[in-house]
Amino acid sequence: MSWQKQILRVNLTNATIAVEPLNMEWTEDYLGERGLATKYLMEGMDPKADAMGPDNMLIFATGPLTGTMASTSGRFAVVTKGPLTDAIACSNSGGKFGAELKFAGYDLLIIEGRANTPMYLHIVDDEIELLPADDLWGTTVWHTEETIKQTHQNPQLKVASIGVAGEQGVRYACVVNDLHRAAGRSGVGSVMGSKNLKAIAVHGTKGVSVDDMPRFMATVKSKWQKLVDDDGRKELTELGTNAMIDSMQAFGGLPTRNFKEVQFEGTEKINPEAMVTPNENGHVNLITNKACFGCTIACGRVAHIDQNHFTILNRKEYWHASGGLEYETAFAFGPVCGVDDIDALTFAGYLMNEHGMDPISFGVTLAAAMELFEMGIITLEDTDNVPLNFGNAEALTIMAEKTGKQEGFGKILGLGSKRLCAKYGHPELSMSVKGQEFAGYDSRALPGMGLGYATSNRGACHLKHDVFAEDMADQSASGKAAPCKNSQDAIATIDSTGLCLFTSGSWDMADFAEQIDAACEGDWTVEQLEKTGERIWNIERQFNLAAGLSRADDTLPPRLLNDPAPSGTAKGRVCELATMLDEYYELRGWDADGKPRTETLARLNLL
Amino acid sequence: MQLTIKTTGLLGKYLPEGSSRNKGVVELASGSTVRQLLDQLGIPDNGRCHVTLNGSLLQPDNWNSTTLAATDEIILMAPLSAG
Repeated sequence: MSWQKQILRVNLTNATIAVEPLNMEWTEDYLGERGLATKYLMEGMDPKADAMGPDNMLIFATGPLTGTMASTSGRFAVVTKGPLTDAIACSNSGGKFGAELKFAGYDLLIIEGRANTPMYLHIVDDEIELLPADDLWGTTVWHTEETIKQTHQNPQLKVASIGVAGEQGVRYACVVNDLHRAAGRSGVGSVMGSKNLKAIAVHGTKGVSVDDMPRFMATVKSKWQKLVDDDGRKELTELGTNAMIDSMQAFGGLPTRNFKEVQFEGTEKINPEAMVTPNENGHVNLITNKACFGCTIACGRVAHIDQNHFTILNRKEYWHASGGLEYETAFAFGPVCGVDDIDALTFAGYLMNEHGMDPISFGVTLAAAMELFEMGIITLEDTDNVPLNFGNAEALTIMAEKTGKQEGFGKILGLGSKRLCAKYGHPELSMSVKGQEFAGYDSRALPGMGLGYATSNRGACHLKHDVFAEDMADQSASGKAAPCKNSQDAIATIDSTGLCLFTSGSWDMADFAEQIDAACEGDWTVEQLEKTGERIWNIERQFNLAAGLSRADDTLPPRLLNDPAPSGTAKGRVCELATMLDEYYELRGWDADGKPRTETLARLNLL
Repeated sequence: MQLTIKTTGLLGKYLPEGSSRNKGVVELASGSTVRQLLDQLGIPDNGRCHVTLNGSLLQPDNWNSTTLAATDEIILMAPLSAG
């Protein structure tokens, strides 16, 4: 029984704190983390509620394997209604915060209401208090975490907090935990800010039990060995996720200059080899790699910037080691903005962590602004006299800082690309689905990815489906609906375990089932987990439909549907979404409007 | 003939000694196929190597029948995945 069987409910309006029993019946249908939090959200709020209003709920959710000896057991999810999309937001993070929340004795932390003044939540096992955060308001994530640890003289505290971006409603603000990890997407940090909640600091000492300890230990050891031996895992450890930039460049699916192109001439200046190659001053960007709690992959990078670089010249506060480039940060600051300066990209990454912003949404929003600038729609008058040409590394870092501090044109960039492009009369230039910006995979080269983007419940996202193998075997739209649906369901399950999705290249569903079955009461089979994933996907869909979304939101920008890829292996192709979408709805058991049929809901126990 | 090979991911470890991490030159018998190149490099047939040839994706079914020329641009590519 790796559940703590308790949830912590904090109502900020009333300043009440309650410990309640976990609904164990719901764990049987929704597992934990993403699935279970979504069930609590669906039952606890009106999906039509304002995402930035007090009636929205903000749930921090661990999974049954969070904090256990299973490999990669540091994961937790932040689930809420997202202000970027006005749809369900489910943002996953690693680090140590999730395990610590579990150690304190809570499977879920539910935040409701809105405080009158800035507050932070301090949890040490059963001692829970809401404390004033007036002195922290207006400061960075890094300052907040350090100050809270000093205030309580407790370096063991694990802190999740927001920066000014979250306080002031940047639509893609993150919740950053452990300084460098983040529940990054969909603006969950702005929901926290709208509640006047600056931070959550937790220290737990209770540990986590499992149902059958000898069996559990034998199982996790065998799964650990499987990870150790896997070539995909080795690539993540040795090169990090940025290994993908060379493959996407070779494949011709690397979105470049706001998706006008699919290959970038500067990849060799920002790829993993560039990270370890000395520059003209002998400086090497990469220092080492790092892992989240319980992780045996360690895909994270630790980097530092050349002190002679323009970004940190005479700025000693940035002369330290910090989070290094990952693929999505490299893509979103690099190719999509046309920038090939590795230190500028690294600095922009620092700023995202320091101020609490999603690098994908920021980078793709800036790229849209760059295109508008080059079209003459936006002028220097709009941009605080910063020329927003593609390739301008200085503009990238200036705008990252302005957005993080919500100054000048940074306030407009903080709207996200959908609202920014609409403001300037060119909504078609927003490279987003449901208002959330794309990750670094172009749908013209990867049509299954395009279908996944279009149907993702939280807007464009590369982490909610996995059709890579099928797209590489056949770049047509044919036959992509089934693997898209099946992988969406499988990932919904994995996101509900407390383990990292990056194990899924090495483990199949049976590997997850064995670990959950050994840790939890009841019988957990592959079939049960597959049905659980499908149920989670459908309840998320139900939330979105109730929030007012429809089939019209399951689409892609006209650029990807109409403008052929100009180069690469998919040269001449567009993403043929319409035919895939009809087949996908049918496989899902949804009607032509994208609504689950009654028999589908009945089969999944969702009526 | 000599053929310049580019790689991605960790596939560079199969390149000849003296190669850079992701680029190397291979001495190959004239008329060799893609399959013969992969065999010569010792790349296992485990689905973790994809091939682009002159900008197009070359499916494994065609590796045995596609012969290489010294002017070909070939990239041995690690599988794509979420990053």
